[in-house]
Amino acid sequence: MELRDPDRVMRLERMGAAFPTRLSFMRSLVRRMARERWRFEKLRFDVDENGFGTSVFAVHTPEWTYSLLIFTHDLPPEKRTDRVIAEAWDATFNLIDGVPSDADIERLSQNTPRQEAGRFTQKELVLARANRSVRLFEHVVGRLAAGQQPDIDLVVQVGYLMRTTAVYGNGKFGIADRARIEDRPEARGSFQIEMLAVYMFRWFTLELVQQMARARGGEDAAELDPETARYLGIGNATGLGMAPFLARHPRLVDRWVVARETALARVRAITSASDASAALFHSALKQARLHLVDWRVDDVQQTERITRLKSDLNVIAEIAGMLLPGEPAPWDRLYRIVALECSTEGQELLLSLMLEPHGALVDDLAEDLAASEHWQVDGEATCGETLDLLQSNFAWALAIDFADPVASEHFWYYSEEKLEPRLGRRIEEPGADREMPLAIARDVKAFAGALQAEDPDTPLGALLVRQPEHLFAAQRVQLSELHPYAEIRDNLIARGIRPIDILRFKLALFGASRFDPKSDLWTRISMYQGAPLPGSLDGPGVEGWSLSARPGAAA
Amino acid sequence: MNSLAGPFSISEIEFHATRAVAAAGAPFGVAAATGRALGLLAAQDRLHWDRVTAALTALAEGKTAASMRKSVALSALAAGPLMAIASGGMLVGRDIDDPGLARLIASALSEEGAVLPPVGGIRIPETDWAVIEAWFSRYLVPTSEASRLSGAGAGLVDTD
Repeated sequence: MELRDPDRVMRLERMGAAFPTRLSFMRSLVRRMARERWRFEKLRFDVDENGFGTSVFAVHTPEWTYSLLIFTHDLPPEKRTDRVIAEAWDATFNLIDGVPSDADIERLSQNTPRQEAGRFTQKELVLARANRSVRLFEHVVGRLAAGQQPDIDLVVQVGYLMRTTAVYGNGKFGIADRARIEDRPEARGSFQIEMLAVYMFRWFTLELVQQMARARGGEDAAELDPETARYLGIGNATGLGMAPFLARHPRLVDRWVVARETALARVRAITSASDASAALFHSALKQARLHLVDWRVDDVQQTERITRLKSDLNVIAEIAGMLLPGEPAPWDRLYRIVALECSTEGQELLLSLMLEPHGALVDDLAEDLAASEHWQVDGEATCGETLDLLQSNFAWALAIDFADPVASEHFWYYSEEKLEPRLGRRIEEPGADREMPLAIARDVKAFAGALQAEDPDTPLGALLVRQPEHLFAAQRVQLSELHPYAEIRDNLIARGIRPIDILRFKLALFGASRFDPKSDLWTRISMYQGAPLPGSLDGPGVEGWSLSARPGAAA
Repeated sequence: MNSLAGPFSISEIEFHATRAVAAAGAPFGVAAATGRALGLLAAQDRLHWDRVTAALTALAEGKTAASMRKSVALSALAAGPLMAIASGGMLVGRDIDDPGLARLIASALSEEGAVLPPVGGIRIPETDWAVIEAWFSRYLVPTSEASRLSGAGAGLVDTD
């Protein structure tokens, strides 16, 4: 079974319709935690009735120990913003290699609350911060303190107690380079250490509201219902920063997409479905339908897409009912029919649902999802060979008319204000001379012009020494030969660009759900919603939690 | 004695140095290769940072004077690993300001194996890092009220 065409998969319209799958980074991490029986413990939990203080929560893997050191602060409401340019937060934290000493805690107490303005060492693996949900956090504490459970509708509406506004890894502000830990089994996959920090922080937020409720309510305080606790994830506000990351990591993007597309191809190649896999599929489908009931957003376009998705799931259920389990090649036939009958979101959700019953067949693809982005150009290739490759793999870029100002209306840049990534208008705003290298289509097209002006037998290296401005595009073109999914095959500087499509693609790979676009530039999401907590990793819920249903709905 | 800035990670130096080199006039692909090399070399304490800052100045002056000789001070060599593969000794033959630095950059990019910084992080002479940062800051776009409000997501105060 061939993989889907990159020209179809790597379009923003489809990338912006992605859903988490069982290969997503959070799912593979939780699977590993359960399989290897990771042990979690609270080493320190010094918070007052307002939740302010210092805490250390630890996890022991078979070989290593990691600790989450959390500082929780009093944050004036007027300072609460999800933007990178914020300067204060409700909680700031590090994931630390090992257990922090008293000296480490003292040192970090002077740095972690300052976030980007602090300095860190190779002992710190992650730096992050989070804010309380104004809508839900105090409500939950108050209700529990009064001996009551929180309003379940409000819990469902918000979905998290706190949301992260940045999670930094890989060397930022002096923390450990990825190379320091990349050989450890639990760190080999993509973003596993960052996702571990978020998982532990989610655990902390649940412990925090409980602790505060006890401090306020004493013996009358209620314990948060376990099913409600499990439903609560960690929120996240994601902005433009993810887009330049994807552009800088084409090989990694290719690895991620190859894994997902290979998994889909393996499932489509199955000649007959077992009763068990059919039952698991129908169960996942039912859960997804319940999930959609509570997926409500303000964004008009996404609301329309959710409405269509609900009808798509009816179509999928009807076709699956006919094909599963008795018909030959049922998964491929299901996929083909849905590709004709359903929206792009419906097709991508089907992909996720089809992988769900087939862990034994596809889970190996989630291992070792890492790639080095440091490669060298083959200068011995001729300009003619390079041009052929470019014309073959970048036809989508060559088709764009960059003489039309609309095609290059925007530029991406780092603001001097805390390096916040921003999107500007080329004509109206200053700074286009300092744009990030995200205009890949434009640059590759210019490179094509340079190649066409050369004798086809000229070594590429000779051209690049004379015109080194094409080195970046030359790398992308050569990369495309072995990495077909490395590029987003759309013009990222055109009028009408929707960065949230890029964000959703990456966030779905992470395993996020409840995409809640707030504009074309940023989105809210939930992470680990429905995932098992540390105390229940030996239970039945280790799988199948990606698109969780509200507490009680599945019963 | 010069005091030291840091501690830094490799990727942090790479990020800043790449954009510093770009701001001094090198194309981004060249700057990225150079920045990567500088991060690796710094982790191994193989750099004289004053030579790096001098090269940045030469690169920038070359750009403003439209002098080919100086404009390739870093960029020709940043194409170094490329050239090393493509045509062997072409690199050494080029008329550049600091062939020793150029060769160092090329070798760093050609070496195999992971490079780890010291556990305490990488330290760089403060005066030299200030030069890198000054170039880096030129890659950043000054903020305005309009760009604050419309250039990125989320509101400036969150009540959710």
